[in-house]
Amino acid sequence: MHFTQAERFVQAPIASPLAAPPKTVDAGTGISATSWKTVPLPNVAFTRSAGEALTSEHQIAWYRFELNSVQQAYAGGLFFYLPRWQTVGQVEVYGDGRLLWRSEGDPVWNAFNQPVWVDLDPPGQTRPHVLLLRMDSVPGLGGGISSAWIGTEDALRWRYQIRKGMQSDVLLAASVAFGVLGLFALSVWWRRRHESLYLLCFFASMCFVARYTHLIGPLNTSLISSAWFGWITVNSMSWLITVILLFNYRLCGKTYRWLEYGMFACIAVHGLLTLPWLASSAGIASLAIYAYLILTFFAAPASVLSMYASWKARSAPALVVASIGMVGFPLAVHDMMLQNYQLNLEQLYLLPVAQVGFCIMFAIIIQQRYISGIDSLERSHEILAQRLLERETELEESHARLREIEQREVLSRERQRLMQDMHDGLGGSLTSVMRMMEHGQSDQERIRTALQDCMDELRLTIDSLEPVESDISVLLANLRFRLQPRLEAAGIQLQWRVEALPPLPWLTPAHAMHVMRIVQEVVTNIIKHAHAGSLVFTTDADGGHACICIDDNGRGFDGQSLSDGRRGLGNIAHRADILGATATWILHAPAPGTRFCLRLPLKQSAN
Amino acid sequence: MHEETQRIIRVMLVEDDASFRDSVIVAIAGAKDLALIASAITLAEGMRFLAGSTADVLIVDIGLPDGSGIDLIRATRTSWPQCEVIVATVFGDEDKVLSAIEAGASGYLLKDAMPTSLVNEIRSVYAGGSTVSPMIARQLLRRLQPANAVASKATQAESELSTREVQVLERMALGYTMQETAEFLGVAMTTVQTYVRRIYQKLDVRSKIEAIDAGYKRGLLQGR
Repeated sequence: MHFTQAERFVQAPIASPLAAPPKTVDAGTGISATSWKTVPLPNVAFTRSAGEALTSEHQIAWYRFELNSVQQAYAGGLFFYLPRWQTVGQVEVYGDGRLLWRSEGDPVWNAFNQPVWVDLDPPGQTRPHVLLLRMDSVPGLGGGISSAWIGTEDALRWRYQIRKGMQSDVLLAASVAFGVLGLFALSVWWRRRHESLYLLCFFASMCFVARYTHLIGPLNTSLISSAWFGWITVNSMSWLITVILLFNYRLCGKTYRWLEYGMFACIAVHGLLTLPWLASSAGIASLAIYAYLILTFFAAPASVLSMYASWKARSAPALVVASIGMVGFPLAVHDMMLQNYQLNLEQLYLLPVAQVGFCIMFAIIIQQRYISGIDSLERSHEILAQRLLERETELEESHARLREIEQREVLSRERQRLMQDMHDGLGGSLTSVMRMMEHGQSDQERIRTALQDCMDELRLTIDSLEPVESDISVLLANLRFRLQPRLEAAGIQLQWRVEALPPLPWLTPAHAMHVMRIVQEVVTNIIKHAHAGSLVFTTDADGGHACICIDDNGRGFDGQSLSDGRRGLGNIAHRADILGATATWILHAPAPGTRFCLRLPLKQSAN
Repeated sequence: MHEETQRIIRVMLVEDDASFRDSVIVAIAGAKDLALIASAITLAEGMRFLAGSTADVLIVDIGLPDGSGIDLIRATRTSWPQCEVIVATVFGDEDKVLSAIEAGASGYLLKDAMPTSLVNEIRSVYAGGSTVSPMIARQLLRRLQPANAVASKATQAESELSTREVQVLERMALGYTMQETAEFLGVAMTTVQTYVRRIYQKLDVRSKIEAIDAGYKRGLLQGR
């Protein structure tokens, strides 16, 4: 049954401060039948008036609800449900004079936002006939109740739960969620100190929790005194608004120094003024309205500014936050009127609901940052991979260029070697032919031989271009075929006793050329000076060296420079040096002739 | 193989270098058993001669003014299968000689050779022998060694070297003359010459097989 009216009796102010309510009430105590007036519900018993609260006095209002016969006889459970009540004081429900329910906590922070749910069949007692609701209040601070219900659980429970949900559970959930989000934001800020947004989010969450705790449940004064709780609750509203405005500005990347200092000053002043040392808990509550007015004075332009900044910054989240802020003004006005008993008491406080929107926005903003962080990480991987690819191609190109340069160097070295060789060998031979002709020695045969020498020289040079591949035997073999005609012409018999030699890994074309020239020089010397009849070519190899030996049976030569001072020997020594080899001449004595040996190392020590 | 009779060996010359041509002409003129039946100075002219009466020995220069002598060597092998080809080169460098041998040449001449060696070379080539220089011997070893066989099993027998042939090449790669090699192996020199000729033929075969392989891989030929 929905009570849209009830009988009410208002007692005159009693000159003593609020006290604990009586356990039982004599239904007829001080209340005559005529004192009851029927009033519509919701009803405001005491209005709030501006001016100081008279905490030394208190007033009491009684409301009377009578159960009809149907309700009396109802077999199932019956419940009393009161959607809203509000007062600075205490509220009790008596059934037939016995206390069924009373409000808890501090008189100021008495969970006025919680709907009342009373079981009318307490264990061990009979169902009452008459319900009396006693509400005491501090004069000047107002008090009132909404309409009431008495009915079955099925009929009323859902109403109760919806109202409870909307008035307090939503805020509880939002506070917990926002609180956790704030702690998370704090942990992020701890590691990234330069991102103040996270710190602001943490402060906002703490202010939110502080601000709306009073709507969730009664204050347990053993945890924190009523005055301090009041101070926190009243001031946290302005803190919350300020932090959210700051957050909005930072989101747009802006800093309005003077405006922010002004807001800080405002908050500080108000905080000081409402300190518990200066005012009582009730006094603080009464000052609340002034706090909100001052806040509005500052917050209004600040919010407009935040709207403007968000628009300029083209930031959608910032715009949403600013819009919620703007919407908050009419809602705040509504809530203030509701608190001042100027609106139907059954209405909800809307501002908290709007501010839950802030929580959601903060969560969204942080989620955006998180995701963009991961995105940029992934992209940075891509970017890294791309840059790596670029570096790799650069490296390849520079490698290719280096190889090219190397090749060119090798080629140029080869060319130089060739030129040097031709200059030494071929050039020398041709020059001597020219000189022969200049000096009139035009003996055709000699010229022919000299030119033949030139051809051999040229062939030797060309042979040196062939890939050697560490095998010196082939070069020696080729040399034999080049030199054979000359030996035959000089009447020297050649015995070839060359066997395979171990490979010489250090043998470059240049080195091979040196070996050939040494051998050629030795053979030429033998042809020209030794007057030998036969020549024996042998090869030998032991652990560390390969030897090429030429034995002749001519005049004998001990390796000292020849009488005509030719450069040939110096050349041999020089070339042997380059090869890291040793060239020796040993006389056969007493037999005629010399043994020339060229010892080549199998491995070159760092040359 | 041709018998060593008093038959006149008919020689054809395709050479654009005048001085070498003269020395050949002089050398052949000085030899009773040789006769120069044709002399050309361009590839085209030489090709035309192939339509005429056959020669026993062809001396050709690789670097002709209007083309490569290699083409003439190949053409000669087809038109005059019994004709032996000698390639003339100034320096006897490997690449040119080996390409010529792959194309079917049987020997090579150094252009500055004495007339006597010219004549001897012609005679020995006509008799079925071939010359080889140490460098070329080593190249042949490398290309035809069983280890390097790229041909399939069916053709391995055709182009692989026998043990004897490997010995011949190794000896010559060390610088020994054919005569010395023959003494070392205990055979007659003509035998050694024949070995070398056979080795040349194997190179020819091998190069043909490789060409077929390459063509097959490139999808130019169908099936084997």
